[in-house]
Amino acid sequence: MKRVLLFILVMGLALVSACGGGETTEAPAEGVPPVPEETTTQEQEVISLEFWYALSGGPGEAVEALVEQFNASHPDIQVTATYQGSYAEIMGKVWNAVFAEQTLPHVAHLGGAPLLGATGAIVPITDFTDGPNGIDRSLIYEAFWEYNTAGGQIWSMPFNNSVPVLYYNRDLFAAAGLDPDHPPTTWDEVIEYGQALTRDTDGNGEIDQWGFNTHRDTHWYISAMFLENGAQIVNDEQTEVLYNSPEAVEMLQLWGDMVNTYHIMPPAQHREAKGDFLAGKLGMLLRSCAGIPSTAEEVTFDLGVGIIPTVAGRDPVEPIGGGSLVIFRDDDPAILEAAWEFVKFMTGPESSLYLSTHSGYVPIYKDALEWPEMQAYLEEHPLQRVPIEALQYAYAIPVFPALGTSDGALRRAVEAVELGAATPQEALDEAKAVVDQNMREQQ
Amino acid sequence: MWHSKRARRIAFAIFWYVLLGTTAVIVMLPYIWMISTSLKGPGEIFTYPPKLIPRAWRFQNYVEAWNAAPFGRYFFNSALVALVVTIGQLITCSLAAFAFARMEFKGKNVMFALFLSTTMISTQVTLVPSYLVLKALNWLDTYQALIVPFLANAFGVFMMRQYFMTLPRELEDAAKLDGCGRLRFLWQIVLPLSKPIIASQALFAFMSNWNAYLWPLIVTTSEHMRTLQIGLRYFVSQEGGTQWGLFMAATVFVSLPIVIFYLIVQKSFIEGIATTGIKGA
Amino acid sequence: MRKEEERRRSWWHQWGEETFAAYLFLLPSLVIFAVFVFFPLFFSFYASLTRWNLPFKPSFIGPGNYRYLFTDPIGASEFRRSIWNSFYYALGVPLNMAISLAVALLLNQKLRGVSLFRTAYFLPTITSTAAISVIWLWIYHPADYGLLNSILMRLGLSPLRWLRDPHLAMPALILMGVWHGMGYNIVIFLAGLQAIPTHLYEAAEIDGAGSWARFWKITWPLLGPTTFYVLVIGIINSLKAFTQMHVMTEGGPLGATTTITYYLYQQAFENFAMGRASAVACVLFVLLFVLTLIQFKVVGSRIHYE
Repeated sequence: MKRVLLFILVMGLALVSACGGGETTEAPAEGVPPVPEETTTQEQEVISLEFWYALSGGPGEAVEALVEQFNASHPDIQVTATYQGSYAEIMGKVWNAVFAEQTLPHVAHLGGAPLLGATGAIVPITDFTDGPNGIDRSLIYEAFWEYNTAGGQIWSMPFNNSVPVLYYNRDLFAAAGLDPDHPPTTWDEVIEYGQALTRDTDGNGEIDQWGFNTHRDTHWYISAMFLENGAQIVNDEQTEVLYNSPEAVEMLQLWGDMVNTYHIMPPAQHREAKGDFLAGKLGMLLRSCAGIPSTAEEVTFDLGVGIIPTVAGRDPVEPIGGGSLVIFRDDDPAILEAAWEFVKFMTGPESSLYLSTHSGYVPIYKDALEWPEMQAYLEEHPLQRVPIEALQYAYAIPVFPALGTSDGALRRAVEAVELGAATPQEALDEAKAVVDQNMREQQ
Repeated sequence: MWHSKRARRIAFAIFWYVLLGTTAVIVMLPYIWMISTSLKGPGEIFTYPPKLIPRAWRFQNYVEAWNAAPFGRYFFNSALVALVVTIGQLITCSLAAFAFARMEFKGKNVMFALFLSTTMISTQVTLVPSYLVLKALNWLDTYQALIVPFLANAFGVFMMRQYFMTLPRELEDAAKLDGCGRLRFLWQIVLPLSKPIIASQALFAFMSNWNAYLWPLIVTTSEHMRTLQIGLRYFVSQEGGTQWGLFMAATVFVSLPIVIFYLIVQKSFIEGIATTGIKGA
Repeated sequence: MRKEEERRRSWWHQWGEETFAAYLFLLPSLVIFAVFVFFPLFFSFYASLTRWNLPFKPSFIGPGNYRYLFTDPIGASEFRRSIWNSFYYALGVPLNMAISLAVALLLNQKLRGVSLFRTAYFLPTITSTAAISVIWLWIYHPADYGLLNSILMRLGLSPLRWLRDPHLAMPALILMGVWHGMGYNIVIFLAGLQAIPTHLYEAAEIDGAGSWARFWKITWPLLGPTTFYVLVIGIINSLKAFTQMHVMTEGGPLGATTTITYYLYQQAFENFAMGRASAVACVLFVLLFVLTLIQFKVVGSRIHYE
């Protein structure tokens, strides 16, 4: 008992010393106003903005750096940026705040941002982009605007985006007699290459090196395949999903064949895929380009990156992922103007350049490849040229309220086919039934 | 006879060390990997089988990790909250457990069922209404939000109740003869006899609060209210790839206070072995 | 004689006074529970009768959610399976108890180095989830370089797919859960063992009782209250288990590890159907309540308190 008290005392002392060593020396106050409010003080006319973002690690540091740059160059607008968790967590917080009519931040960075439009909590970004202090929207890829559209309205501003790319192990390619400078561009080639790469390296009768696999967000990649084959994800009225069509079934069949017929992909092993690739046990990995910098740093083999493969004779489809910036409604037009200044800065060409050179995200501007700084950067980091060049094929999967359900249903359909528990048609029919029901309920 | 008894003791000791030693290593494997990864540089982390000895011991991971976010502040917040909650729980739990264990009163079983029922609720659905409560109290983004909801704990009440019920009835009779009031009885007699269970309860309360992630994330928004677990997330990136070396280093120093707390707590268990006849027989 | 008269006369006084005092002792906990547990519970019950897509306001629909969980062709079969999976997972509780008790007995010795071993067995409970998942993904890796599989190969057997096999996934998670939760139960058992007076053992040894007899006649009965506690909360916690399913298997493969709580999570955060999630939570609450009641009636009455 005494020792517990002693421990408490020691911790107390540690608290006092940590207090001095912390970076913020603000004393904790009980009853601190729970929500920072915008203040316009008379002396300086400084507008304080609250910005919530969802990036951590290296990209998070880039965001912080950009915010610092903004604050330094805009003495009349000061932004406080706080990390609020993953996309899902920050969305949860925003929803709680909207539901409880709690004051929201002024600007937030989210995934699935356009869905907030229906709540009335955010201002359509086109009010700003097409306004007096606006920007030329045609400078940014059309697909990114579509990615931020819901109900026919563009709600949010493109910010950090990524597309899937094909990571591959050049050393394993060379060892298998494949040309490391020519990654597969069609799914048939993927199968061909995969068969050369799938081996039992130690001769004990078990395959320990696979040719192909995808990261665990399989719904993203199968959607890309559906679209490449001419299928649609959801109908225009957004009342039902359409991925049980023959074109889609064909692609899911192909995916299943990779596992069960050609044996280039292990069944239901997507959680291990990234680790396997990094450990040199996997030849090709489909994954977001956002992981290129960290992967390049981590691997001990020669890394290659290629564009997403496609159906022979058709263009690749690079579905967009990533987050956007939203501006919340406010009664004070000065706040809204300041918020837009900030968003405009964070998504401007310089910031887009900074973000894409300090992370794996792609710049959102069409002419990014012509920027001299970008060219210099790509000289040093040639792998990141691939996703940027792939943007000509960028495609925005339509955003609809049942997207969460749909993504989950697709993942489970893929798993069922990989494990031989259902035919592609059965799996997709079931997925459609589940999602359509959810969509009806969301009306 | 003297020989075989001693021999048996030695044999037991050898068996004990071997058995516990090997299984302990297996059990500790993930923690060992955690420490070894915290000392690795990039390129060493994803291998099969996982490497336990880093190539070059990068102690600067710890320095970099500490500087990557205001961990001093987080440490202060986590410690303050965890300590207050621990002390608070010890008080509320021992009071309630004493009532359930040693007092007779109307509605006792109903009350106990009520207490236990508080453990049967899923946190995913109580997040929103709890958030509403905090909003109504104007406690969002404050220490109260991190502390007050956890000042009571039915698991602790139940655990202490079981323990108190095993103490002999003679104690009460002796106390009544002395004219001792209930609170004094609890404080001066029952609690000192319950050191192991108090130590356990303190450990669990401290740990669960120290490790809390989702609740602090939901109820705080400002940087200066953040706790250590949220700080840890700073190194994790689902899309971009986690900085494993730094992340593990941070995880190691975040877990140290609990290890220390545990080492202290289990000393009271060894004390328990040493004392004979705590029932005064 | 006078004392008995006094006692009889003031019986009502005493009874009333003790009740009053007891409730005072319960008051601090009750206040906290009322605000932070009971209110959310009633709110969830109300929410279970609504259609509620966050962040919009809920709209009352009566028992529709419960109808979905119990009668809808897709919903009911998924829900039923999740209940079954939860009970399957709960099979790990007696396993956990047995192993934890065995280890606690081993750790309850005065041999040198016991502190180190005790710390070792506690480390699983404080290891970060991230580290746990990386190591266990390696232990259970379906390829031949996974730890378990490499052992199997060495014994001349073929590798298994573990977490990626619908039949093995749940046992694999149970094993992982036992490993992870051992630390708590060991601490609790150790605390319980301290309460057993050593003189009982000494007396038994003098009487010639062997260690097995000592365990059954002394340790096991006197550990009764502790063991009962471990059982009851073990079942409650195992039905509420979530993190492992979320991190290791996403409820798969083929829904094999979708427990009630994971199903709840899917309703809440994948389908954004908070009303339905609340209904699941209410059913789980009733289930746990009934289970606990049964345990108290059946087992609790046979516990030997002092």
